[in-house]
Amino acid sequence: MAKIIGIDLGTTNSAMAVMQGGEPVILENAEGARTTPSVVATSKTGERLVGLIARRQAVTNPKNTIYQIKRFIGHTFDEPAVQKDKAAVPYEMQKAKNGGIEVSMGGTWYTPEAISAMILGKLKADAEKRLGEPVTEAVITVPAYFNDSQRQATKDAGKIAGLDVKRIINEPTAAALAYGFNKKKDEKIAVFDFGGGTFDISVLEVGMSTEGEGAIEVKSTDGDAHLGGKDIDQKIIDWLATEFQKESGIDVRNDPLARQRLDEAAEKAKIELSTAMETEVNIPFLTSDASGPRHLLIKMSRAKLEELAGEFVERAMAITKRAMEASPFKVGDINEVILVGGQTRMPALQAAVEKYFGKKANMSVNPDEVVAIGAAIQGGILGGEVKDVLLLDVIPLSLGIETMGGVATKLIERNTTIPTSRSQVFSTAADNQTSVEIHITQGERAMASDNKSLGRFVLDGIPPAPRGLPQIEVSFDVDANGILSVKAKDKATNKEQSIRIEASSGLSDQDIERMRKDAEANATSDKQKMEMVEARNLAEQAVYGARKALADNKGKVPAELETSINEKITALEGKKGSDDIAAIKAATEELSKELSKVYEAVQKAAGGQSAPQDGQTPPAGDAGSQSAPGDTSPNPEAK
Amino acid sequence: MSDLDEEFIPEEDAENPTGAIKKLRERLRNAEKEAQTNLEGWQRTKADYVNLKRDEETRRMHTEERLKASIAEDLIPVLDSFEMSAKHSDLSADKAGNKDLQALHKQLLSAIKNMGIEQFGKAGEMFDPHKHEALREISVETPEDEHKVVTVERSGYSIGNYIIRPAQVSVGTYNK
Repeated sequence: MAKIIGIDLGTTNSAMAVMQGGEPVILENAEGARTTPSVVATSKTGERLVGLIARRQAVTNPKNTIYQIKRFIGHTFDEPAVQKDKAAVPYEMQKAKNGGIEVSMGGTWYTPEAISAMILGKLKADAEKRLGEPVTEAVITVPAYFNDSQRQATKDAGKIAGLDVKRIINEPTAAALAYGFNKKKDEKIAVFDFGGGTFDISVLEVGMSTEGEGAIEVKSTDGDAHLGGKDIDQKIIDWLATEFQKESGIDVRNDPLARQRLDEAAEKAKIELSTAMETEVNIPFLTSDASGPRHLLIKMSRAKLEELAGEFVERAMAITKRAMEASPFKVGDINEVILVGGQTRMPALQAAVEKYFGKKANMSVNPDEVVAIGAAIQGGILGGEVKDVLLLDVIPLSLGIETMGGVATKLIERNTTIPTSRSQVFSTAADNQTSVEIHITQGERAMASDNKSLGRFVLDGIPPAPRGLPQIEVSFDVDANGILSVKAKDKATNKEQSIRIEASSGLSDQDIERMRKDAEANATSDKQKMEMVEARNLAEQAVYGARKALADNKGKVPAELETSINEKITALEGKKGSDDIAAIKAATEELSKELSKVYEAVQKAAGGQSAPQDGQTPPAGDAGSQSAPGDTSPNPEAK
Repeated sequence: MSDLDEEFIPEEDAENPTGAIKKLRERLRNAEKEAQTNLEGWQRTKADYVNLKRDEETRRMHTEERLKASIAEDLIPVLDSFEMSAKHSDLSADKAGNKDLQALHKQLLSAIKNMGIEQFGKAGEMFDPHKHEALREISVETPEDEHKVVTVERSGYSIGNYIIRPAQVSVGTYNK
């Protein structure tokens, strides 16, 4: 079945998303951008241009460049709002035979549906290019206040573009879907959408449909079609131009080149002031006069931005209040507030929303993309992609085994999507160890004893060999139901043992949450414990290495060096059990240094010509490395 | 479904074999339908995975380009300032300061060129919105200059096929 794409067909910009592997993802357009300007043009050479390309030539071709067509779709020509908006656009418009609207582009009259279809057509073509397959179905979003004729016209635009519009959904509903709020019942949500050129506020309620699924209902909606981020940008530009004029006496407002640079600087300053308290607007060579080039260099504070944006924030909040009053709920009834539109990144706007609703607003999903994401999710639901049988779960807590020193070595990290399997090779901790115990643990803590024990089993029959030589492959497999199977296999003999555990089924959500919090709270002390275990393990390896080196090279090591090494071994063994990590590390270091002298002595005895024979333990440097071959950590305890 | 599952036939069905067959056919139809749904889900998931792998590969290849483009975005205003400075003062004049500035500009241009970033936009070329952004129109004397780039206000920059910034230009318009 082909993909259903989700399209946020905006007044200024449009975006599209699709479900991939059960997750919604934004699709970039052919130019590599995540949003596409809702602009269409017929160039002077007769070429049809859509998006960024159309916008770039608007100055040279204003009469044939159509933008903000969403303001006209589904309207009749005589409506007062249409007449007002008509005055603000440079392209020509006429009354259609049916009383609707037609706009002129490249000498031809088009309906707003046909223009919107050109935008949708580009999105469709770019989506097909990205996905590598034909796209024929879509979910398109519209503002909650759109009436039937505006919705029908949007659907028709899709049809003209060659898309079967499976559903037209409200923009706030899409935002709620993107946050997964359709899964919560009796939830009351406010969606605060402050876009580039329009402001909308909607109050939603999630109820239960007859199929037992979450049904989102718009309880009230309000807005201002001429209030947006662009107004704030304009205020900043005016302020910068005024400040520049005060200093230089030059008014750059009518200079298109200087104006372009002011536009960019204003937007940059606005974005920077979302995180910084102060920024510097620096435009060298903004213009020039008889005295030479003039530069603009002004410090702008967040307080200044808030002062400039104040009136727009107030207007938005007054409309929000009106929408709340029109809804059947009190402000305190609202469970969640969602922010939509890039302008909501402004801290002053977030603070105003928080103050009014008495709670922090949600903006964890990119506010520029949240509507398209929600539309893609709706497409996924309609296409059957979001179905129980295909829903993949994740493991809530990490799974691992206990290794040397009581450390919990994770094989499968938490939040790994299941079904999954992982394997790792371990080794023995002592010479001639013939069995290993596999102790399976679950949790985020560093030490096995602090985690939940899921089970244990023994793999025996390992042929006697020096520590670190046997290779024990431990495999974890978690099936789609969360059932864990653990297998340990000695690679030399192929002997294996296994266990099956109903992994996470015994834990409630509260248990999982408690275990996660425990791990966070104990992160520091766990790290210290880990360091201690590592230091002790290294100390043990150093002692082992030293004893083996002395035994392997008996008679070749000078007596005084042997005595010195034995003293260092005794010293390290004495400290190994203590809690003084620095002392253990120092003693290990001293022993390692002394050991390197053995190597020199052996070489001298052999006439300074050979390296140690194959199979011999290299005396130097071994203390600092893990003893297990081809592996990451040494093995479970010796049996 | 194994044969064993079908061994048990309820008494009433045994007396009415047509009914039993009907029931079995119904079960078979449902099982086939379920198998088809599962197969589609499996195929889709597999296709998603293959597509994701391909996308990741493309993204990995583009990541370096995009990373360079994002570094260039911060450097471009500096290059703009050099260009503006050249326009506002006579850099060809043989002054020590001018030479220093020219040397610095050259050095910066060569550094971004080494990153694979190309500078573009020249007066006299035909206006093309795929790489130019029109800032204003300028009246021209001859019809040949209609819709051509008259001045490049700020150069454009690209890496591979990706336009980091279009060249910002003034476009000629011929009025008889």
